[in-house]
Amino acid sequence: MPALSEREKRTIRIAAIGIAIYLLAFFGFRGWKKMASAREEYERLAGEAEKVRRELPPYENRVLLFEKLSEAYQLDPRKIRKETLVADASEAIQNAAKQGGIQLGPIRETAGRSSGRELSSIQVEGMGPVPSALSLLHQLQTLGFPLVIDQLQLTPESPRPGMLKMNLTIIILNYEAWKTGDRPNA
Amino acid sequence: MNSRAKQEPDVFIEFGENSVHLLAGEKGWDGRIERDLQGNLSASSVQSLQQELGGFLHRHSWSAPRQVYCSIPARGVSIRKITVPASSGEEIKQVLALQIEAQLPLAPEELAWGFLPLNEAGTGGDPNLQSFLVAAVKRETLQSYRDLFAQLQLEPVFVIAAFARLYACEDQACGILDVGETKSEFAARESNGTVTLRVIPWGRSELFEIGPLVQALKTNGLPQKMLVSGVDVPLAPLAAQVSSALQRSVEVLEVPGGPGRSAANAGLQAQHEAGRGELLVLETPGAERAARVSRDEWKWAIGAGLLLMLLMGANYLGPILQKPRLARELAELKSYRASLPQVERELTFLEFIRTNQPPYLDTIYLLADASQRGLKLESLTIGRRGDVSLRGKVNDPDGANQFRSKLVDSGFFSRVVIEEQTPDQNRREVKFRITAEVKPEGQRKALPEPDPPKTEKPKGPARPPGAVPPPRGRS
Repeated sequence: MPALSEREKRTIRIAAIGIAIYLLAFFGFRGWKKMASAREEYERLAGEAEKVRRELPPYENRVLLFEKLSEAYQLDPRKIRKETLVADASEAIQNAAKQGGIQLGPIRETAGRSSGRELSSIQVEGMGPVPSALSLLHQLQTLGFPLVIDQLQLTPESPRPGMLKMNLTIIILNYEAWKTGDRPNA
Repeated sequence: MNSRAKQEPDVFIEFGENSVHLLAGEKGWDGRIERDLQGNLSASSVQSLQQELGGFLHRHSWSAPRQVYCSIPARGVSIRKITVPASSGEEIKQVLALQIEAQLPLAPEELAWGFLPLNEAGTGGDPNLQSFLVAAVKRETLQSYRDLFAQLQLEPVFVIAAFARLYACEDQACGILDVGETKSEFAARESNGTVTLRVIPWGRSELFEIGPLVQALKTNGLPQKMLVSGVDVPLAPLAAQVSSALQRSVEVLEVPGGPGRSAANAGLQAQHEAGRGELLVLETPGAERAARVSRDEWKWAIGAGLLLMLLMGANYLGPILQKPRLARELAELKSYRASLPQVERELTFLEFIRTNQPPYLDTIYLLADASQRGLKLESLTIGRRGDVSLRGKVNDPDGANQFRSKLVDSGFFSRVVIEEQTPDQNRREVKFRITAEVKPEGQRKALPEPDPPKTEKPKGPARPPGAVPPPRGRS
């Protein structure tokens, strides 16, 4: 290849600069648009990540709260068998009462209200020492069934001091009627 | 055979007063030129030379010779011997430039100049000094030649023809008189390398009268060896005449015949082939400096441009580089969130159980805590909404009120109402009926801490731990 003169080198240099400018202009704009869209995508991802990060702690707290309540009530709603719930709950209540020293009286079961949230209602009458009665009240919360004491009535058993007559109305809740997002009615 | 495979020779071109001689290898060409009043090539000469030289180069298929050496007349050339402190490299040029500026009426940027080192004899043997032979000419003097070669796309190296002729002389100390048409150039080189140069206003048109020539030659010291050269000049008779007039030997410079073979071209060719001494090249340091400055400016401009691009790009580079990591992190977060159990419904259910009944035991505890001696509870009813209703009797007429006050003070109840107080016939007991509401969670006070159990004091003197108790029967 013959040696290039300075003029030829300058010509080549100018041509190379011109081509470089053209390529920069042509691809530079497209590249700029691509980079801008990549940056927008990054910002979108960053916003989404921030949103997820913000949502996580409250969600973790809810999970912890559920585990705490589930442990306190000895109840996992996901494992409730609706078909035998009323029978099992009634049996558990009666067993708890008997084990606590409560003499049971009439027990009445009625169907739940039409709203669907109450599966059944059990009215229990019994008599026993004050500690046994109070102990039963405590045990009802930890039997592992979705029970809500609708009404409690205590009267002393006059002929026998230290004895209480108790009348409990217990509602068995229908878990399947619960929808996500329902707020509890205090 | 591919002509491009030929090795292009160097081209030597001498511009005389009215002639031009080109020598390239074995090929040569002679032509005529015209100069304007300032001594520059006329425009018509430049144009015709472009055609002639271009045609010559094209005929010999030389697209770009290796190098073009252009020797110019001595008109306008200034020669100085400059002694400077010993230095090397680029410093020499800088120091000489300062000396040129001091000794010549023009600044170095306005000159085309070159230098040759002189041997130690020029400095008197002082090792701290260096002597140089500096030749300078106005920069614009070379412009017409540059224009000519620019059109031919050649970058010539400019030398002084009188210096070039000296290379044809094998002896170190010699003088050469080159006879032109109306002017002659006499260059003498001393043993230390110093060169003196004179333009003598005498040419071949005055061959019949050599008096002015001899007079001019006698003005300066003459070297031992003198040679005479010229084109279209009867050199032998002239040499004899000058020799007779100067009373010293004057010979004819032997130059091979043929087109383009002038004394200067022959000298340059000999210098290249035989390596006779260093070539004094006229350069324009200002142009180099300008080119260097321009290059430096370009470098700074390119650097600034790159920095600007980097600065602007950094705004985008960061997100682009971090995007994969962020995407990974987001995927991990989503995966972790998906791994968490879906307990919204279950939690709502358990929250309902917790909040939809009052704390029965706490209520009973507070009622018991608020009751005083003599108060008898007859019935207690607590509803799911937190409504409390109790009936009882107390043997203190103010007992019911006190009981109610304690219930209110407990902070657990609101709307504590004594619906009925009825003293009995003996006015010993008061029957009462109280209703209240358990405050919602968050509004009621926390239960008071129970009193610590009382510990019984030990009977008898206290024994240190590990002591053996006394036997029974002894106090």
